[in-house]
Amino acid sequence: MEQLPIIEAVGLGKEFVVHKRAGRIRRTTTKVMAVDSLDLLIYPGESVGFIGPNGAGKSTTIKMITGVLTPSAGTIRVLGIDPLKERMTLTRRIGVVFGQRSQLWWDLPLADSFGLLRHLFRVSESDHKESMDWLVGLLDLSTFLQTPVRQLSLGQRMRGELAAALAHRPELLILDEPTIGLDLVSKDAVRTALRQLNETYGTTVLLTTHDLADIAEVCGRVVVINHGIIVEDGPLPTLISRLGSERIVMVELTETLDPLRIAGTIHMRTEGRRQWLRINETETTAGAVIAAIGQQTSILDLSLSEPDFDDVVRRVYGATS
Amino acid sequence: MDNPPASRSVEKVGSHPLKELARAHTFATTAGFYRKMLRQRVAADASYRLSFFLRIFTGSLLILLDLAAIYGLFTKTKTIGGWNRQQVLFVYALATAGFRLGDAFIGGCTERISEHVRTGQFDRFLTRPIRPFVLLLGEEFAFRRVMQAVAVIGVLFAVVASGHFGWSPIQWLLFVGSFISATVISASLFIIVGSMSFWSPDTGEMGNSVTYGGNFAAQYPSHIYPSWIKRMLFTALPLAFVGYVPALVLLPGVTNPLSIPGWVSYCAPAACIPVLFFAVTCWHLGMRAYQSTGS
Repeated sequence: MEQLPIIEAVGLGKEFVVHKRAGRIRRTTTKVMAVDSLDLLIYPGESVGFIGPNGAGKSTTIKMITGVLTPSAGTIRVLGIDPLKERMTLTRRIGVVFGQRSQLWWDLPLADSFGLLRHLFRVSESDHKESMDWLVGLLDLSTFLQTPVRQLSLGQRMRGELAAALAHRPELLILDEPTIGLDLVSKDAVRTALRQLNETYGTTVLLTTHDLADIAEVCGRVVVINHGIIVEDGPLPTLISRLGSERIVMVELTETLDPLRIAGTIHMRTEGRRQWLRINETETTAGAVIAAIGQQTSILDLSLSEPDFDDVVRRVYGATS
Repeated sequence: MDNPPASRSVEKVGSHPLKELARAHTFATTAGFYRKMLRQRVAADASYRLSFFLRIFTGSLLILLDLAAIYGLFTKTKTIGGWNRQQVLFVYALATAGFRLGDAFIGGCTERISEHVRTGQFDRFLTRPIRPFVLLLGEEFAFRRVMQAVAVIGVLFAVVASGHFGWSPIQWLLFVGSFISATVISASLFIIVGSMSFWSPDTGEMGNSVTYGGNFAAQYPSHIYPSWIKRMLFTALPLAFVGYVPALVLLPGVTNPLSIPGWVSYCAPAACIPVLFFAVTCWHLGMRAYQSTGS
């Protein structure tokens, strides 16, 4: 069955006018393209991660998708709706989490915030109760439901934000940096919830992040944005193998040898009996490399490093800037 | 994961498939939500008990100071512009009761727009299925400001009760209309000033001089002012129409040096209509400006 895209952006652009002081009163205006003719199709049930350096246009894109910002070029439709013209209709069908801005009421206990949101979204009491039972379990909220939001830890608050965005069971969940500033345990809780949501209920997820681990654990698809344009779009493993860090094999040999020459690898360094080789995975595999070393000499110990996400991010940002 | 996204089908499992739960607001449900927000705000304010009472007290004190200023003036003079103390008090109370009411429910909220714009928090108001204006009025409501309005309304009642003016039904209608008009004009001015923050978040001080300064000028008979202020009070900032102009026919035997005809006095409450219209326009233009510049 041919599915209609849940987000459809064609030639989407956003131009900001930036004022700079030039002299006492005079000022010069420059135009900055925050987003430049962006084409993006996202289908129902997908889980998509946006990455890109600060100022790349991720948040601007998200704001245009949610109807907060008016595009200066191109068209955008979300759930078949024009986000600007029917912003309020759209808000009922999507969930939005801005990691750096709370959507909750600061002075109210979490449970009261959810109660107000129920009235705001006009969800019936029985549906709301069902949603809450589900979310309290999914996000493990039971221990701090009665705590005022201002007293929650960042990790607890973020789980509360997620629940707040999901209580009306949106078809599309949009998150701007949902894991920023969280510790590892909280990050894990958020990621697990997002993955379950996507896999179990088919909720479409679109998130922005600087942490590739978010994408590795939640998103089947990664979109790299820089200077307002999409520079990469595809599954994360493809991105990693295309741009990414090669895996490195360390072997400890029975004797000190000259640098090993193995096809498809580059020798990096030698430390006594230990040697480090970088594997070019388009030419060979880790297994073939280890077998080849075993034929030349005998191996005492070995370790294989996984691709380093931070390194990938650095390469992505570096390669496109 | 290798499949193209278009062909990926999702089987919905679990207890609740995604169905649209949220419903659209009608006018009545919006009003209901606003009431709920107000209750929550009062409860939240009251949870800081000492500062809650302190703020109510200092709020009422402000009105007492207003009154002290007028009483102080009249210890040095019998009349101001030919109007005695009770007549000036009437103008003060009529113009200020509505002003403070508008300040309590609108002004206290719209003055927060600049901060929401500066921090980008205004985004939040745009991602909710309700008019951003209603959400703003609900979230930023501060109960302490209501006490100021209550105090001035009390003064207005006292002045009217002690005056024994013997109004006809038409005069009563004008009195109520003037009070409503004062509230609407004050609310509108606050909306206009607040909307300016969408273009420049630093317009607050200038805005105060329009709203609070305007109210101060409206507390006394308008004919005592130099002509440029008079002109302003009858045109751009039509605050003469909320207290002074209706008072000309509501107070028996007051002097009318500007020779304002009686029918103008009876039409005075209509002055709020163009101001309200302008305010609504400013708000919509401001929102559009925000949506095209972001934060």
